[in-house]
Amino acid sequence: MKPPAFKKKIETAAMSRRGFLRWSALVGSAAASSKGLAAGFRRRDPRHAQVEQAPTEERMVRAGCPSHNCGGRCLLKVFVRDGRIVRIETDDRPGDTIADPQLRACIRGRAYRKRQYHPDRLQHPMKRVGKRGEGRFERIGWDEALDRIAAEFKRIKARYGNQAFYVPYGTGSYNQINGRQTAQRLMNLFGGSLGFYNSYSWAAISAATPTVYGTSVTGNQRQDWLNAKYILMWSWNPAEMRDGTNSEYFVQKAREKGARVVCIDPRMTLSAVSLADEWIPIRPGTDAAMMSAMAYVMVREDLYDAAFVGAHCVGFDETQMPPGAEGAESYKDYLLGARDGVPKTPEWAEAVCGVPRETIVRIAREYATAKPGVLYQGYGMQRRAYGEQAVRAGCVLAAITGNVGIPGGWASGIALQAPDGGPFWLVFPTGDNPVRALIPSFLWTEAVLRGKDMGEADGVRGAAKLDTDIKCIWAVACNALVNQHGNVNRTARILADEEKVEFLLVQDNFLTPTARFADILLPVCTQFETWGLEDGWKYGDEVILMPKVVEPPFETKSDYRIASEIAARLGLEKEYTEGRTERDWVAWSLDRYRQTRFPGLPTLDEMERSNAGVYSLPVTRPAVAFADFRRDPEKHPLRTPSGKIEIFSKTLHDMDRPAEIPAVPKYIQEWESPFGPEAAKYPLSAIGHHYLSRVHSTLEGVDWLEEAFPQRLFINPVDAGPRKIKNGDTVKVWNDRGAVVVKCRLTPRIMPGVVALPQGAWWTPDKNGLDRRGSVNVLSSERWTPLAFGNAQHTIMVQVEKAEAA
Amino acid sequence: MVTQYGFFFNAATCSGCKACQVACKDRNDLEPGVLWRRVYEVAGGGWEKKGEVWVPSVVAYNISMACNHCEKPVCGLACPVKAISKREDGIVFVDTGACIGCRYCEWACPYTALRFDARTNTVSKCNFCYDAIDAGGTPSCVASCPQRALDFGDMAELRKKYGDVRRIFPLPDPAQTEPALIIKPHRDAARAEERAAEVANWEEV
Amino acid sequence: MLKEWPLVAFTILGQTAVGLFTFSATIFCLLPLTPDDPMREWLWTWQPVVLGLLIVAALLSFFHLRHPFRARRVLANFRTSRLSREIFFMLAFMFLVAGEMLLVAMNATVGVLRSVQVAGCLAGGLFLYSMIGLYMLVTLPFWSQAGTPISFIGSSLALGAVALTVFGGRFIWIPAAVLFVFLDLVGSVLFTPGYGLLSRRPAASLRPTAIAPSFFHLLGLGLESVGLFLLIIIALSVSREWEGPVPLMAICVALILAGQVIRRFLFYGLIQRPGDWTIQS
Repeated sequence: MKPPAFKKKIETAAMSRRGFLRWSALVGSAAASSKGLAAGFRRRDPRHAQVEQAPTEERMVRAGCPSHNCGGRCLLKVFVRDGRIVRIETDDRPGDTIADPQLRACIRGRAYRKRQYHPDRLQHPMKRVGKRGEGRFERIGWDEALDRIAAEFKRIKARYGNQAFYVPYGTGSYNQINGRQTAQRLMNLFGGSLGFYNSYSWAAISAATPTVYGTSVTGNQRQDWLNAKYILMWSWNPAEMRDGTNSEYFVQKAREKGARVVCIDPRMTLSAVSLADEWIPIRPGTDAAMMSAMAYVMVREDLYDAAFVGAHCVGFDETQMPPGAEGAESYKDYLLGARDGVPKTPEWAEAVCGVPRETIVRIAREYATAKPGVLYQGYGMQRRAYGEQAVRAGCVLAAITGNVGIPGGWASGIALQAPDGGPFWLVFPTGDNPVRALIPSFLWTEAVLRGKDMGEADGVRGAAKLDTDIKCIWAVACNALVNQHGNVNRTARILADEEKVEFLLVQDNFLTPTARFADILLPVCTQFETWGLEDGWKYGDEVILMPKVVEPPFETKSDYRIASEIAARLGLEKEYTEGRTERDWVAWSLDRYRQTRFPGLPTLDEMERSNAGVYSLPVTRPAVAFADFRRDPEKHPLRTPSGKIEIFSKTLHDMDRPAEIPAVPKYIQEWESPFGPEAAKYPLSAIGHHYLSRVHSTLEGVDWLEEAFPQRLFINPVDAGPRKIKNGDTVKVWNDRGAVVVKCRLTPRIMPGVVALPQGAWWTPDKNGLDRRGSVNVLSSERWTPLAFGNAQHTIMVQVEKAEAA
Repeated sequence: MVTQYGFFFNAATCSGCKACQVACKDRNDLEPGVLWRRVYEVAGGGWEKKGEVWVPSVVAYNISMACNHCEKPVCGLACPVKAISKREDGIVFVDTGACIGCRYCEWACPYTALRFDARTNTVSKCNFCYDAIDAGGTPSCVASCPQRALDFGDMAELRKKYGDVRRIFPLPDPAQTEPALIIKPHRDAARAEERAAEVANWEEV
Repeated sequence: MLKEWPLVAFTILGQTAVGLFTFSATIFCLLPLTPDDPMREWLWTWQPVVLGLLIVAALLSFFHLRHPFRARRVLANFRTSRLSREIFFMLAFMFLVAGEMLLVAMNATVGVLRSVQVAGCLAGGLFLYSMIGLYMLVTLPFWSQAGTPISFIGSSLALGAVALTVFGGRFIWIPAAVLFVFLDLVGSVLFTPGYGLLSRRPAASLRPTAIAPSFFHLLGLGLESVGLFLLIIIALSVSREWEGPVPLMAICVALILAGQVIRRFLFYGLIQRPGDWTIQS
């Protein structure tokens, strides 16, 4: 039974009378001048004034934008009338300086009312009828739902043990007291659950960066970009995917100050258009080739910072190989082709990456001589088959050009914010997980299929091997089970098997593709309907309050409330809540922030009274990562085995998997690429870029966003022409894993040979299994990267042809 | 005393993110299909194969445009029932209560600022957030832009601050309607015409 | 484009009315008609037709408005709005045609009738002039080129002359119709905005270029040409004493009308309205 539609109220515009009464009747001059013509109608006929609507009581609350995994943490002004949000504005604090800029919301925050009052919001708990995955549900009461959940939890714990539970990676809600950590806290009290490490966003770059720098904190505070003379935005698109509120604004300011900005990306992104002096298209998955060639040029032309390399790095050449690996291949060996016979010349790279050799040479020279320069590594280039290599290669370029530890430089890599790793300071206590075993976040389907056989070779940590398959999944704010995981058709088959996962509990705002597989589906309220607290998104220095603004409708509840009620059924309510409501936990979290990072932070009562919404620390002297190390590498060694920047990593060398995990950064041809035999059948590279119509898969179905950014396959006329595809045609995109049918948009803003299908669209299979909405994960693969065990979700080859419209 | 309110738009740094478009829709409760402010993507040029490599000669930029509250508003001149009038401070206003829905103004405006709203069966357009202006505030679009690419004010002030350019490809000759608009052109705008650029996102505007 | 049918109908009907009235007034003013000349009868049947066409046109345009009953103020912007002026002159024209019919019924003298007819022609001419002006806005470069007035005047004369032949009366109407339809076709081939050989394509703008495949224009020209051809056949085959309409005439009229209507639709299709190119969620 379909849940009843949420009643839609038509908002009518209330026109104020004030503006009208101030208009005076002017008689225009009779002249033939344009002014005269215009003045001729300055008179307004009061008979047609709008009917005045008596303004009712309206209050304004400053609140953090509901924190999805959007790349920003912004401040909203939420206007409420009669218990309903009627308008949303954004941060308008005076000042808007570089040190403390306004936190302006993007199009998605501005459209939020349409999500908040979307007719499809889940309203009541439901239980599955029919087979899992059919998406047929029956409404039940909360009591029945919670009883069933508690019973299943107890049963599975008794039969399989706690390692059979899994609270998957999910970032649909992503602040202190809402999201998966509320469930994890309960699980930990209940005996634990199988844990995970890394993420779908940053698996490769998180694993690879410490292999070079011994840490993930390789980024300066962003105001430092204004000290840079050169900014190389490599696969980085902050204007579109938002990488910390205001990042694109800081790059704009740096450019205003004189920095040269270059974008390297298969697409001419929103960032390339608005921030860059030059766009260099590059074949997806070949970034490490261009980086290697750039390093080659720097070696050949003696442009690299030999003094810095000598004092701060290991493995650059044979003079500085670590002990136990003296004879191994150094980076210089690799670049010059000393061992493999292939010098990584610009000519070699041009054939691989599609960038003209002269351009590679020029960019190498520009970046090496800029002094200082920023090479910012974005995340699309690492969410691929050998993403770790591109990350390491970029970090090495930053190192050999001496751009580490100096203002205006940037060490590259994951670049969490100096000095302490930056925002996402999780203060809400999940406690200790009695289950020590962890799997890579992307390998949960393996743990469902063959968990008992998983061990170190599958990335298991904390235990030699797993004891059980996953039998129970509790998905909170998570569409990463079905919609956002690689190879949707495969995942659907795995989850549909009720012998494997015996109980699937999903809580969400909408009936997402993941929710369709639920055994019990619980309706969660939105962030405006409960308390929350957030800080920055990766960068920033602020705390943002998310007060409860309106009441939760129907029977929706917050993630925290749901977990506490399940806790009650399990006899753990006191331990779980510690007597605190959502609001109490926010007050508690503010105390923690005050103790650790923001000593001047007001209390919750003070923040509510002032309605400030945000507490921010102006950044006047941006922190620079590795400043100490650069000054004195002996006194401040890195946390690497050698204490220095590891261009050659003995750790990786000792893994003895040189073909996929080389000790020095190498270009490795992807397992699905334009160069392999698969290209005969599937000649186009497909990438699933982040798109402003959604935050991943959140905000799907918001009409204001769909009209601004409709779901389309972006294809170059060079590829569309021979396929007789015209702009707006419906096309079929497919490979061995599945097929989607979607409308296309012809654009010159993408490299020939590459197509882009914005990620996050909800998988919508018709009765023949053909996805009609354009979910890129129908096409992506479940195969993971060798070092990080991460998702290689942009490594996709496809074919495209014109299709019949639906 | 403001004599002509106008917009400044920095095309050099507009990313096309459309926060301005939706800020306006939220403020004015506009249904899908009614765009008081919209963001045009202008793209052109192509690709050439040089040996094995594809080399682009692509140009692209965005134009965020609402109503330019023209000093010679052809919409108001054209409206048979005088539903469109101009305030002393230059804001051009559509009285939807007087509009008969003939849609002639939609043809007349070269910036396509007038938009038919099927819900009210009348035409409507950007009103410069006049109620916010009157209270000393800022138009929603200007306040929304993450790149701070929009500004507003008296045209005399805007000219002093930002120069005199009122047109980039493919906007019409400003002499037609004397728009209250100052633009900072994107560097690609100069080459747009020769690269056969055109609006790339018609279905979105 | 097809949803503009009320405007197309208004334009065709209005132009036919102007053309027919102009011809009939010219005939009445120039020919020395004796009191018992059967021509008089023919003349008096045309005026109600003209009035009927105008009333239908007026009703169509009135009800195609979204808020027709606010339209009482539609003449308010006569000073600057070409639409106000067009409606004013249409109403003046209708008034004069109706007035003339009244005067005929009251047995007014020929002198009075001719004065009213001259005034009516003037009003009709101004109606046509302001109709053309409606589209000749400087902000509509696609329409403000020579092809628009050539097309509108050409259509008026062609449709008016063809309307004459429907009622019969004098053989001379038929070659007159042939002449004006031919001129209209030549004008169309050369000057039709968007499709004519000598027409100007406007520069890129904030409207998409909405030229339909040339097949449709050629179809319109083709149908009208066939109608013209048949009209020539009729002209060559009927006797000089012909006084009544020939059945074949109906097919000619249908073909010519079809051609005119198709080409008028194409004309309106050149300037789209924002909702036409925007996706509606």
